[in-house]
Amino acid sequence: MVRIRQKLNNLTSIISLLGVAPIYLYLDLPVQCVIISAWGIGIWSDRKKRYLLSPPVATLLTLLVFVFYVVQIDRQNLVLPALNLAVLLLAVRLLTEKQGRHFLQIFILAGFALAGSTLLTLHLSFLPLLLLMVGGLVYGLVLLSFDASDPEMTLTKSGYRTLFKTTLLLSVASLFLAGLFFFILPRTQHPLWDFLNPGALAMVGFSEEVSPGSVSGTTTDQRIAFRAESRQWSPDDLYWRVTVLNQLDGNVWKRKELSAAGNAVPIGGVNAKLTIFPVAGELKFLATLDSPQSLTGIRHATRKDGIFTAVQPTKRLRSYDVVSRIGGKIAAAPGLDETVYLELPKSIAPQTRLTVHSLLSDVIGRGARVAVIKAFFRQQELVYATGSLPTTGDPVDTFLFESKRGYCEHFSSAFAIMLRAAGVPARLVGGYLGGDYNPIAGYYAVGERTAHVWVEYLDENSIWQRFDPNLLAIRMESGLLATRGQHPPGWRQLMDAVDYYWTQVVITLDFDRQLKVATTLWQQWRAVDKEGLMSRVVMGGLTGLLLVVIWLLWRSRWRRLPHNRLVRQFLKRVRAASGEELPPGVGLAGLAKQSGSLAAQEFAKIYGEALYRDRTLTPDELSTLERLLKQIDPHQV
Amino acid sequence: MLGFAAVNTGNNLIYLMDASLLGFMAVSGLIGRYNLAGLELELSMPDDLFAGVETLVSVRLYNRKRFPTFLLAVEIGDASVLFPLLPGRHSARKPLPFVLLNRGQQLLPPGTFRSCFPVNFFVRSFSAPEAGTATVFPAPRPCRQFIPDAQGVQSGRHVATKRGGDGDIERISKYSGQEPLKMIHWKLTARQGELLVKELADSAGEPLILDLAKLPGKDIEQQLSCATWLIRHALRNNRPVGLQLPERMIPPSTGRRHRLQLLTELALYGSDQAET
Repeated sequence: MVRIRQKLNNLTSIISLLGVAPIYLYLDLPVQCVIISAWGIGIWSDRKKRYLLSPPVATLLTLLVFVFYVVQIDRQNLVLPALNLAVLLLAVRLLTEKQGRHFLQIFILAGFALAGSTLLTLHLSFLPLLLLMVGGLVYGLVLLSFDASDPEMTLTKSGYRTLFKTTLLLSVASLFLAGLFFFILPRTQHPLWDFLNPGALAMVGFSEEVSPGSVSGTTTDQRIAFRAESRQWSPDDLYWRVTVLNQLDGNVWKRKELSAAGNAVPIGGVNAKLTIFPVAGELKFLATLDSPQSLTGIRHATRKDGIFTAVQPTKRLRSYDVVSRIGGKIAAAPGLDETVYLELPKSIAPQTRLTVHSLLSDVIGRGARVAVIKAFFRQQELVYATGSLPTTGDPVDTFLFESKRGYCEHFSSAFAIMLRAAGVPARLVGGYLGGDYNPIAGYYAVGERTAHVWVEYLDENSIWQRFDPNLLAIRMESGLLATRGQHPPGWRQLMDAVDYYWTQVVITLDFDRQLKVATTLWQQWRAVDKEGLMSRVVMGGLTGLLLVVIWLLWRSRWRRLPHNRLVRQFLKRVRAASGEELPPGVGLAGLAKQSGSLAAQEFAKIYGEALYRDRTLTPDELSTLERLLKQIDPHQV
Repeated sequence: MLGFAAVNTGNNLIYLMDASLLGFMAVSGLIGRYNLAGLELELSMPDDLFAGVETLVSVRLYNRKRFPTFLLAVEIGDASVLFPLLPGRHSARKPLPFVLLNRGQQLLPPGTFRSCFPVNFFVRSFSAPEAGTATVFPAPRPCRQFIPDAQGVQSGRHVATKRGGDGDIERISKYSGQEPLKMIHWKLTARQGELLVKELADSAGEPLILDLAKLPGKDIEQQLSCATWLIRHALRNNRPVGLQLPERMIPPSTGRRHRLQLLTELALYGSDQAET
């Protein structure tokens, strides 16, 4: 036989641990030390029944801690002081002797700490902690009910097993309903306290500028940049377009917004619909699959060169839908000023320029010039390398004629500069190349390590042609393709699929998506029920159901009304007869006998038979009781 | 508070916690209701149930459901007994201290099932479907001054002693063939050469016949209480007791059945007149 209180103490330790665990590393160092000590001492105290803090000392400490942290709270620094405060209050409570309400306070503080962790991180690890916390709290509240009934209560092992199974059932059913509630609970379009939410990760592989030669290597970050829900496409088509860099400032490629009469128009190719789930927050540029046609689901601006930018970058992760033309090209926007794409700073890459002039002196036509430059690249036997690269003041010349080693920025920058020097309008496109297709969930996981830059040049027909000069490197299988072909193992794909669903289903659910789902469901319903007949039947059924419920409630109340009225009148008459308050604990039969009235006794007999057999009074009985009531004359009793 | 935080931050993880709490509230309501369903209550009243005197009633609770019932308090009147855990399709029995204030055939106050399971924030209760009746004897009131002596008392009359089976030997007589074998006096039989049997005196006291009208008391209820006490006292001392009623007389005797008959007569005394 084990005491309920003992189990409750053990469970309370576990619940407090579950609450503090996700925020532990964010807490102040002293608070970290205090909570760990309090946790250990608390367990020891509960076993020995000797407590470190008396209630007055605990109250004083609580006040001091409260004041200390409350004065630190301001708009910029709200979450961490509040969480430190909650954890210290929890520590104080763990160190004192616990009664029923104290257990409840610990449960609330632990739940508050877990909720607070969501303002620090949105990691998937919250889910198992939440499941354990719900199970623990349910079991704790049930044990608390037993404890409230009798603090000395004990149960056998089989009793605890039965209780545990029931609690498990209760928890599972609660979580099942929680899933339903989660999707229908109303969201606001613009939460007032959005600033409290944790910022999503920033992109680390992608850069808004390309500056070859400024660093000696590329990122090897294994994080995911975004996921794209789509069918599987050929690896050669997986050029994720994010930004276009059209201006050279020294050795740095930058973006300049250009004026044009119209937008770039994708032509040719196969239509593809994708849903993009960014992992990074504060997005300025919205990734699409080349060549993008349209983008929906987020407020954005469509740029003239086939890219999209968010109107209001936000920390909140939001998905969006893209329609692309796989294998298509982008037609230049009408009224495009081609000279912008031919500009070259005079000081850069003198050797490269000379080479271009010597190679192309008698080559006419953009296509032919491009072919010559491609041949030159092959001839140079350039090597794709991601590390140990020289940093230099003239990276293009160094790359093409000295080191002959470089990564995408070197290849693309050099190729684009040669094109411009040759009079072919060219620009760099920044984005990602490739992606690991996850067959479990049907999406591409595009990692930061796949950040890439390629070239677009304008042909004689005003069509922007995509060309990836990195493919001209020698030993491509050990270079660019090797880094793109590293598919993660199966278990990692599974974990990533779980994380994907977590982000897709939970993190990015907002008012717009709720509205979208509701609209889609309604449209599907309307498509099935074109005549509106089924809608009328369902509405009629629901109305009927509502009326039945109302009628049942009314009937239940109506059935009890005569009972209550009759008893009230009976008591009134008997009280009037006795002239004093009715003694407590005496039933109707006893009162009737005390009154000495035969009618009262008959009344009690009929009423009691009906009541104690849980049946309603028949109409005959009701009229008999009415008659008997009239016979109970207080003045004659 | 969590709901407020969820709406204002739009943080879906806080929404998840809210949804879990709502789910738990909904399920706990249903489970709490189910916990009180499918229960059968049976009260076993003791033989001696005196008005105003606390006695222990045996409460048998049967759980018809497949699933267990937790923390069930059975309340009858002001008394309550707790069944912490009753497995499905099992029954349990517990004593319940219980008082009925008035004598006579009394309707038992309706039982109530009450439980705070699964959380102590809400207490649910259901009326037990069956109650029943019990015969409540008058409250015993000591009337020591009325304990009759061996020669009879104010309220009773003396009746001659009779032969019994457990007193002293009064005389030796011949065996008639009717006496039980254990009454044969073997020593004398061997000495005399014929079967002789012992005749024993009855060890019981003098019979007592109570006449309610002659018992002390301001009213009939006090007289009934006095009679109750006298009946219990006399029978406890193995003294036969009879009862003189207005229209009939119950002859003196002893034994449990006789005792219950006398006390029941006292319990129901006057109810016939009231009904007619």
